[in-house]
This record gives sequence, C-alpha cells and structure tokens, in this order.
Amino acid sequence: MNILGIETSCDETAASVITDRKRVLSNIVLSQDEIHSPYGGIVPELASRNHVISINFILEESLERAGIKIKDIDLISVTQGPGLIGSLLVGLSFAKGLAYTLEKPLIPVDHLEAHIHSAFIENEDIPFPALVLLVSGGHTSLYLMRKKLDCKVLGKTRDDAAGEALDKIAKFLDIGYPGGPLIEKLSLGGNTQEFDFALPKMTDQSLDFSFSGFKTAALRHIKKNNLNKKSSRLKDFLASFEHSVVRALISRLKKAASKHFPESLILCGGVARNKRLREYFTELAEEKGLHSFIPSHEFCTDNAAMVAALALEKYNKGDKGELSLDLNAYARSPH
Amino acid sequence: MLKRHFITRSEKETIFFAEKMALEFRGEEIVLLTGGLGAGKTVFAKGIALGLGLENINQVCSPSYTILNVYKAKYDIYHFDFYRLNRAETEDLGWEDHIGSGVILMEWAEKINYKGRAIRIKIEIGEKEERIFEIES
Repeated sequence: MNILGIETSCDETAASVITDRKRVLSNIVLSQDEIHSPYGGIVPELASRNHVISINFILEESLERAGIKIKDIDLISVTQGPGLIGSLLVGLSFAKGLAYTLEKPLIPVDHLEAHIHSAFIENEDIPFPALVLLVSGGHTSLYLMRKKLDCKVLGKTRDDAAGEALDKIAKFLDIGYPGGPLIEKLSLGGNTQEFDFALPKMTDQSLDFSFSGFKTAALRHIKKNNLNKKSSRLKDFLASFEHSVVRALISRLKKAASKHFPESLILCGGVARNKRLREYFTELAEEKGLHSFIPSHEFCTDNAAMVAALALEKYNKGDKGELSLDLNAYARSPH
Repeated sequence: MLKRHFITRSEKETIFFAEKMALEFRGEEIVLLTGGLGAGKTVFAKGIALGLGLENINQVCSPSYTILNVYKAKYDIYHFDFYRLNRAETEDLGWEDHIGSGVILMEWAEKINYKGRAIRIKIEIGEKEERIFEIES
C-alpha cells in the first residue's frame, strides 16, 4: 500500500510517498525561503501563488523518486490546518482533485498533530506517556500523549511563538530570514551569560509560554548597547538571547515532567533543528532518566512524510477517509 | 478629531486601560494600533478582549504568523496583524469585509491607508516599563 502526503500550510510545498510499513520512499520539500528572504518573512499572497506554481512538479518529483506511478497510490492525505488559509486551500483543493479523479480515499490531517506524529516515523515504539514539546515559527506548545493519536494540550504560548521571537529580532537587526538558523550560526561560540534575560513569571500554575518579554528585553539591550549587525558584541548578544529562549522552553518541559511523570520526551517542529535546543533537551532527558526522541532534520521542518504517516495511523485505526468534497481549510487549530 | 494622551507603567496597567476603553464599545469599532516591535500592541489587544467579555484572554496571542485570529466574545473580535505584509498585500486581503460584523483590532496598521472612522492608537516605549499612548478618535 502506498500513501501520498501533501503539505502546503505555510511556505513549504511538500509531497511524500510512504508505504504501509512506514518506509519513506520519497520526501520532497520545496522551501520558499529564498523567495521570501528579501522581505524578512513569509509573504502570504506570494506563498499561495508559489504553491500553485510548484505543487504539480513536487508531486511528480515525489512519485519519480519513489519509483511509482500515480495509479499506484492507494491513499491520499493532506494538511487541513492550521496555517495560512490561502496556502492551505491550494494543497487541499489539489488533494481533493486527485482523490476524486483516482477514486481513492482522502484523509485530512491537522498540521500540529502531524508534527507530533513525526517522531513515530523513525521510532515505532516510544514508551508512553510521553511529553511533547512542539516548537516552530508559528507554534509553541506542550502536549501530554497517553497513546498514539491521543494528545492533550498542557500549555501554549500566550503571545509570540519561540521561532517568531527569533525571527522578529533577526529582522530588527537586519540579519536576514529565517532568523532562527542565522542566529544559531552567528551566535556560535558567544557568551550566553553576557546579556541578562529574565525568565517570564507565570503567576498561575499554568504551563503556558510567553516570549514577548524576551523580545522587549532584547530591544532594550540593543538600544542601550547600540548593537547592530556589525557590532563585535553581536555574537554574545545572540548567544544570550538564543540561550534564554531555549532555557524558557526547557524549563516548562521540566516543570511538566515533574507534574506528569512521563516515560519519554519528544521534541519536534522546525525549531527542533536548533542545536542548543537539542542539547538542553537531551540533557534534561538524561537528568530525569527518560527516553528522548527527536526526529531527523528532514522530518522536523514542515514536510509531507509526517502527513502521510499520521494518515496511515488513522487509516489503520479505522478512519477510512472521505471522498466528499466538503472539507474546508481552517486557519486555527482546534487543539 | 479628538486627540488625547495616556501613560501606563506596566502590562497590567495597559490591560486595565484597554479594558476600560472597550467597555464602551458598541460592537463595530475599528482599532488601528501602531508602534514598533515590543511596544505592547498584543497586550493592548488582550485588554480590549477582556473588556469585551472574552473569558480566557490567554488565547489572544500574536497573529503575526496567522494574519487573523478570531475570538468569540460579547461581539466577534477580528484580530489582525500586518507585520509580514506589504502594502499591496494588505489591499488584496479584504479585511474591510469584516467592518460592521464585529470589533476589528489591527496591529501594524501603519501598513494600511484607511481613511474611514476608526480609533487610532499610537504606542511609544518610554522609560522602563512605561508606554505612552496617543489616542485619536
């Protein structure tokens, strides 16, 4: 059985073919980073137009790499949301058209649930319960997972997402886009203790995140020390900033771990490629004596293999998909 | 056109100030927020939502990524953020379609050129936690 996944929720156009044994036959991602980088961020209208241009080619490429023909596809899956509404609609309409023509079932999936499920592509047996930290440009959330497909939100951001805070400061300093990887590169070897960022205080017992305070503190440091992209202290500043954002993420995970006694920790989403985050995450798991799982880079960033993998899981649990054409793209997650 | 100034000294004060303002809303207001990074536009939006009776204002978060968040309170709240858009895109977006169907809150309103009736709020960062509001309505 071959499962086709399609993902267009933000600026990546992606298609992937996996088998029912979870072998990833192809995983094609076309990133629009280069198109968007002069603007210092994703430009939504540009994003949906580019999805329209590239989706056909990406599908063909994914079939060719997988070594199969379109008629060999048995199940189609697509990201339904959340994301940019225009971008989502491109993938969804395309997938509906395919399902209709090929007369194959179509399973819509949630983008965040797919990210969470990405950990299972390479690891079938993750001990439960598991705590999941999902960090990306647009999302920062913490989940408790009792078994596959069973996720409960423990906390999410009350203002900016972690990746968004990194992107905004990078843009402010005119470093470029996407901000996260550039900050990681430019902060290499910098002193993380040089600039002070206080951890946000949550007055209640919640496991929510907040990053707007860091953003304001960063701006204050920039102004006070006259920092710009050519400053000699830029390296230390970026190291301190990145360290603080990562520390805030890990401290929430740690708090959740002492409350919910998990067997495993999972780190996923685009920001999970960040080296410092991976390091602190692994340290926490070792300190607590827990199993830890981080998907490979290609499954952390937005991709379609995670979409196909989640759809397969749902299919195996009895979800037979639908051929009706009344699926609607939604921008906000119900989670 | 009435112009007035107001100063707050903490996030809490900003929320309280916005909440009080929103208590007098009748459901069709357009609030245009301008001010740089970290000025407190999202915090102000939280206060407005609180004043409009939204139960959990933690769900009011930055729409920089999603462009639009919708909350169901006493009136529907359309929370826009044009941080990532250029002028041509804001013109294509059709945000005006929501005028009259709820309260519109807009962050990075400097990206649009709207001449109609609106509450225009400019936020500047002062000393320490201070925020200076210039309100035009």
